[in-house]
Amino acid sequence: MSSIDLRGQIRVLDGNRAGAYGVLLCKPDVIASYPITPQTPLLETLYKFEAEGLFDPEMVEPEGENSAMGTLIGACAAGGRTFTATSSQGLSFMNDAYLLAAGNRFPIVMAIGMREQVSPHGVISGQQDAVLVKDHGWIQIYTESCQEILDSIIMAYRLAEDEDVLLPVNVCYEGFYLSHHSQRVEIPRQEEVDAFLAPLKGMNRLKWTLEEPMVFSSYTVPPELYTEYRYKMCMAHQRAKAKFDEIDREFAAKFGRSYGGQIEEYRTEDAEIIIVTMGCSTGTAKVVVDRKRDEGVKVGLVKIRMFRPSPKERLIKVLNGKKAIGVIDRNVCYAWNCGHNYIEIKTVLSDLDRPLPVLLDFIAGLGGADITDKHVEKVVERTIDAAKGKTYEPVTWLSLE
Amino acid sequence: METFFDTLKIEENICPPGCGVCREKCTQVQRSKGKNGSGIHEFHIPDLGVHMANTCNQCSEPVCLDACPSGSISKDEKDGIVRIDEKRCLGCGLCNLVCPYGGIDYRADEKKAFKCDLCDGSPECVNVCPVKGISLMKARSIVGYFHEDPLLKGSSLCVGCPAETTLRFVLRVMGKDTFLFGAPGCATNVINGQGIKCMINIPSHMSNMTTVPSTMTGVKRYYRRLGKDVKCVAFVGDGCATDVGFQPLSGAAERNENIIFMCYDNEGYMNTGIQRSSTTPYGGWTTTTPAMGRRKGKKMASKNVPLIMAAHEIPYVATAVIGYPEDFLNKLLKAMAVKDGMSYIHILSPCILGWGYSIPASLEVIKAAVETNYFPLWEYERGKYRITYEVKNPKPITEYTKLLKKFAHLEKEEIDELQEIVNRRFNRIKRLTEAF
Repeated sequence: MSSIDLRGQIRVLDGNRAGAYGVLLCKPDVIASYPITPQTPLLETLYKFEAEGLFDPEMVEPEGENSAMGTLIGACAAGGRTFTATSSQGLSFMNDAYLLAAGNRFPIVMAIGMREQVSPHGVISGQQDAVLVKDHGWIQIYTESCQEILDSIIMAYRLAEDEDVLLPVNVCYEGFYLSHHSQRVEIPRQEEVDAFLAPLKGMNRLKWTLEEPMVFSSYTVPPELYTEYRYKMCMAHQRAKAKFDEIDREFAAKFGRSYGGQIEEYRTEDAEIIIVTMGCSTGTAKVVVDRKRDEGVKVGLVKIRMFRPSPKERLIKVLNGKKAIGVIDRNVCYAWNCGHNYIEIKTVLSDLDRPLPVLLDFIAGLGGADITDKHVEKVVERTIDAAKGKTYEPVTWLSLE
Repeated sequence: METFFDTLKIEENICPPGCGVCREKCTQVQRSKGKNGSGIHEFHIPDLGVHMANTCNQCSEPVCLDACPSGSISKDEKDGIVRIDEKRCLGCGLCNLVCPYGGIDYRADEKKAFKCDLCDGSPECVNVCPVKGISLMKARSIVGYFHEDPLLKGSSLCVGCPAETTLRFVLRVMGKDTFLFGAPGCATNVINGQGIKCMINIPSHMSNMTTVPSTMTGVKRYYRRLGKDVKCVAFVGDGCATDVGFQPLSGAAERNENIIFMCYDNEGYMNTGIQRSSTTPYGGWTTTTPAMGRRKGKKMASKNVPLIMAAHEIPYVATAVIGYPEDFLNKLLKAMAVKDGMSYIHILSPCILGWGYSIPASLEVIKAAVETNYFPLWEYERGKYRITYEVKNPKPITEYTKLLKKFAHLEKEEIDELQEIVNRRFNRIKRLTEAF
């Protein structure tokens, strides 16, 4: 057995390598790779797996990210399971094909090792690349730990290829903080993952074959049909939400690890104020929540896992009756001078019972900056103050203080 | 009944003045069969500078056959030759009257009609012509490779556009086990139809302009993994192949993917209303290289994409046009035979609207492009360059430019420059054939 075959073992792995094991376990048919930091080691690891005979996908090395996605579109159309990964400008450059994948409802899984985007240039952590494509039709799962990257990739295939969904899925993890930092990771056994993915084998899916000639994509379809395509895609996104919760429950039963599905609710039950996070800063925030709980503060945390589609129903349920919400955003929306999750939560507010909670946004961790416990403590304290009726700044650029 | 048969092709107006060797030979052959007459005749009209020969075309739907009151004219179902049964012939001359090509030799004095019978398949006039102006067009050799036409009749391309004919030809040779790839552009109207109405009976995909070679790669590789050898064929315009989609094309060539990539080059973005592309020729008018005021069409020469593709050292690269179908067929067969890498075929496909010529003239334009060496027919096969159709006496570029309104504004200086580009490029190919 190859020394790099760690299936069934518990090891210390960084996020890229953990993700690679997730891919290995799902046995894709075609992998396309184009390097860009910080996801590159994930793809490199897949080449090692292939070279060592751990799996035997077709490995394609296109001349750019758009062709990487194009390759997967072809393979996926014909019926294959596919994988690629990218980051930052790579995702931007892929945009042409990225849209095609979603519009054609191809269940492609792609990891995004998240990184800031130009300009200025910076090989630095951030979430801006992934959140920018929030309305491009892909499902997006954001992860907190190396283990969650691995597990989410397995869950992503279950979700993407489900006949009620058939949408491409991004598994997003912050560059360097997760991609290059090592943690304890349990790598499942192959039989366990095979069994978990087995229900996909009986799923209906159109395949592009010689036997049943089919033309796609349609060219200038009539408006009513175009609208129907859009409506059906929207409905698929809506169905994906409960489906993802189900998949998470099934995953927990098989593997003993649960992430809460669309969102993770951490000590929220009796909480008066809620901190909203997305990505790897959640770990730090949980430590601060615990600390504040010890001090008697009724604070809880909601981690957005499924950023797309929006976990609206789950958010409404968990946020109802809270006094204040503090959002930590590692990304920026220029138009509204805030982060993207602030806008998301603000949209949900109108569906909550009165009196509405006050909502604060904290932009932090841009340009690779760390979000420390001190930052989160500030977030919690200011949110408490706002809950008490003190005047507050709706949006704070925390890292500039 | 199959409507494609062999026929004689006579070069226009190249007969030596006074020559009648073909007729003499035919008369001699007929006499040996106990017949009196000739199936071919020369015309010499020195005052008009006309020196040519004429014979029967062996039409697929002969009007002489319909006109004959005694039913003595028949078209052979096997070899397609139109024959007159002399015993039944009344000598009325109707066949001679109705033939639009002057293909029937009627002698009123003898009350006999006579015509070419192709010497039952191996016409002897071909061998005696001193200027090799007569050849037997073996259409049957092309038809023999034809599969069922996967395209329905009618398409939303402009009337007379050669792109549809070209694609039909390509697909009839490729056969049904073909995945066809297109990109936004004129041919999409054929490849994908309009709206939800499609006119194609093989799997076809309209990709984005930047994702054709990569999507082909994905399909090919996935089926390879399943152990199935499928043909992946692209038919895209020059905007896709040589401009915005050039990077992925080069990438697929470098990876040597086993795909067949064809560019129908109409030298511009014609589907978006005639804008310049990198293959728009020097001096060519488009809406973004206008010929007005300070501008005289495109300032720079076209990108020589087939040569760039050959520089990738993929197994097979060729230029082709629908006007030379035997040449085209050979190239398609070679491309299809490649199982270890990529084939690229660059097709010149005139645009009636964008180039400015009248509807029936597409083949005339194509022919002029080849005969002036503007678009030489060549191939690159595993390291070897070869000119596949030698033009004996290349015509000056004006014989091509005069046909097209897109060059109408060019003055002598620009024409000379265009001629210089044509000469330089042809010499480059010529030297490559000598060197490799």
